[in-house]
Amino acid sequence: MDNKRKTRIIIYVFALTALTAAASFFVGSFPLAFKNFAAWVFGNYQMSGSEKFILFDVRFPRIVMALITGAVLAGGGVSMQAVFKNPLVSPFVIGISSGAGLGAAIAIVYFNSSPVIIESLAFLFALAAVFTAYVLSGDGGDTTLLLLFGIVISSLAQSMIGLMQYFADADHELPALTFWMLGGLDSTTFASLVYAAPAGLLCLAALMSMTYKMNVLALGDTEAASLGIDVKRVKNIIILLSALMVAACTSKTGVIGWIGLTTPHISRIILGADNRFVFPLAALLGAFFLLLSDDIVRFCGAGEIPVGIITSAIGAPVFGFILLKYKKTGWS
Amino acid sequence: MQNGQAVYEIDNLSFKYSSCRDCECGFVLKDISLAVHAGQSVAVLGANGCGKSTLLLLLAGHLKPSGGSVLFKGRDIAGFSRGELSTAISYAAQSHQASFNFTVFEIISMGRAPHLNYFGAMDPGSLGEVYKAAAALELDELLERPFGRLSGGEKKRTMLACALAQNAGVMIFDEPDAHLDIRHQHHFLNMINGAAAAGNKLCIFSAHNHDLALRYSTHSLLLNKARNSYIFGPTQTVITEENLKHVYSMDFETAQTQTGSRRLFTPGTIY
Repeated sequence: MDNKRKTRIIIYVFALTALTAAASFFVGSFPLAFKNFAAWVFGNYQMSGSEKFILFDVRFPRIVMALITGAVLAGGGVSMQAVFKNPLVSPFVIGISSGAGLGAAIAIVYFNSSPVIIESLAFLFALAAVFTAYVLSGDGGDTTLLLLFGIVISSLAQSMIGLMQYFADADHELPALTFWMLGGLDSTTFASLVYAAPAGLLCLAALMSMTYKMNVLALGDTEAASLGIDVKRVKNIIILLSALMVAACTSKTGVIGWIGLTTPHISRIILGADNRFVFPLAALLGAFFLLLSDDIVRFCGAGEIPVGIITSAIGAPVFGFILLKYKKTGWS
Repeated sequence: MQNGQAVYEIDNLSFKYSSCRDCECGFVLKDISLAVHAGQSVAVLGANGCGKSTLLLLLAGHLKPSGGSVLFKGRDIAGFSRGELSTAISYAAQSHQASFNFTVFEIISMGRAPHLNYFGAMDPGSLGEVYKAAAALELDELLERPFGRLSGGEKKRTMLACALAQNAGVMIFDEPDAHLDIRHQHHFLNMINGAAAAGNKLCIFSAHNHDLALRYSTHSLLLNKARNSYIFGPTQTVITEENLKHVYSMDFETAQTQTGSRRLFTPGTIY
C-alpha cells in the first residue's frame, strides 16, 4: 500500500470521527433536536437556558474528553509498544492504571470522594508508579526489566486497592471505587478539560513527531544506534510523554481498558507497520471508538454506566472478529 | 595500499564485560594494537567466544574499551556522537530481531535514517540507494513482503541491505555469511570487498569460514581465545595451516585446487 492511500484512509477516518463528534451533541436523554439547533444558528429559534447548558456545559466537554482520552490511550499504546518492541503491551503496562487506581482509592476512602483530590491523587500515584518502576530498572536502561518492575509495582498497588476495597464502606465508598476502576466520562466538566486537554494534545503532537524514530527502534537497540538514534534518550522521552498524557486522562476518566491495546493492532492490520501512519490512525480510531461507546451509553439513557464496560463489550467481539481472519494464516 | 591516515588505530585495546567484574572469566580481548586503512577489507576470525563480535561492537562505538583506546580518524571514538558515527560507520549485527512486520522495503529504507529529515521523508537520492542496496542483495522481488514471512537467509539479506543503504565509508558486518546460501555468501563478500578497493572504503567482517576470508579480504585478524593473543596482517600471511591449527585446536591439511590457482585448508584430526 503506498503512502498516498494510507493518508487517504486516515483522512476518511478523521472525517468519520468529526461527523460522529458533531452528531454526538444530539445524543442523550435530554431531547434536543438538530433542527432546533440549526434554526438557532440561523437566528430563527430561541434556545432555552437548559438547552444551552446541556449543549455547551454538559455535552461539549464530555465529547471533547472522549475524543482526547481515546486518542491518548491509543497513541500511548502505539508508543509503548514501539519502546518495548512488543505488540502485547498496553499504555498501562508500567503501572499507570494501578497507580491511578490506588490514588483514587485513597481519595475515595480517606478524603470523602472529593473530585479534585481523586483526580490529583490518581495523577500523582500513576506517575509515582511509573517513576518507581523506571528507577528500579536502572533508569529504563533495560526495557524488559522495566516491564517486569512495572508488573511488580502494579501487583503491589492492586493488592493495596483490594485491601482498601475490603475495608471500604459498602454503601458509598465501595461503589464509588468500583465505578472509578471501570472508567467513565459522566462526571466530565469544563474543569476536567483544563489540564487533560492541553497535556493530551501536546504530548500526542510530540509523540507524533517521533514516529519515524519509533520505526527505527523496531530494528533493535544496536541497529537503531548504528542509524544515529540516541536510543536511551528517545525511549525515555517516549515513556515520559506517554506516561504523562495517559496519567492526565486516566486521572479524570478512570481506567478505560481495551482501546490502548487493540486500536494499534487494528491500525497495523489496515496500514502495515509504519508508525508514521499507524500512530495517527490509531489515535483517530481510539477517539472514534471511545466517543461511539459513550454515545451508546448516553443513547440508552444510562449516562452513568461506566463506558469502560461498553468499550470492552463492543470492542472485544469486533477485535475477535478481525482476528478470525488470521486463524488460517497465523498472526505474522 | 596505505594512503594517508589510518581509519582505525587501536592501541592496547582490552575489554571485559562489566557483568564479569567479580568472576574469573576475565578479558574477552587483551592488548590488541593494530591500524587499518581505507581500501582494505579485513576479516576477523577465531573460535566461538574469542571476542569477534565484541571487537566489532567496539569498532562501531557500541561498547567502551576497558583499557586502551580506539581512535577513529585520529579521534577517540567515544568523542563522536551517534549522529556523527551513523553517517560514517554502518554496522550489521549477527542476528536480527526486527519486530512489527515492517516490509523489506521499509526496513532497507531505515538504513537511510541518518540522511533523512526528522520525519524520515524519502528523497530521490535516498530512494536510489535503497533500490541499489536491494538489488545488490537480490531482494527486488521481495520488497513488499513483510519481514516475518521471510526465510532466515532472506531476513539476513534484508538486514545487510539496510546496512548497505546507509552508504557509509566504514562497513562492519558481524558474520555476514551466516544463514546465507553459498551463492549469496560469495556474491555479498565479493561485492563489499570490491566496494572497499574501488570506493576507498573500509570493510570489516567476521566469519567462521576461512576460505571466504582468503578470497575476499586483504587483511585478516586471527583471534586466539586460549592464549588471549592474536595475529594480524595481510590475509595470505595470517591464514596458514600452522596458524589455523593453533587457533582452532585441530589439524588442517593444505590442498591445491586442480588448476593450482588456489590454496585450501581442509580440516583434519580434532584434538
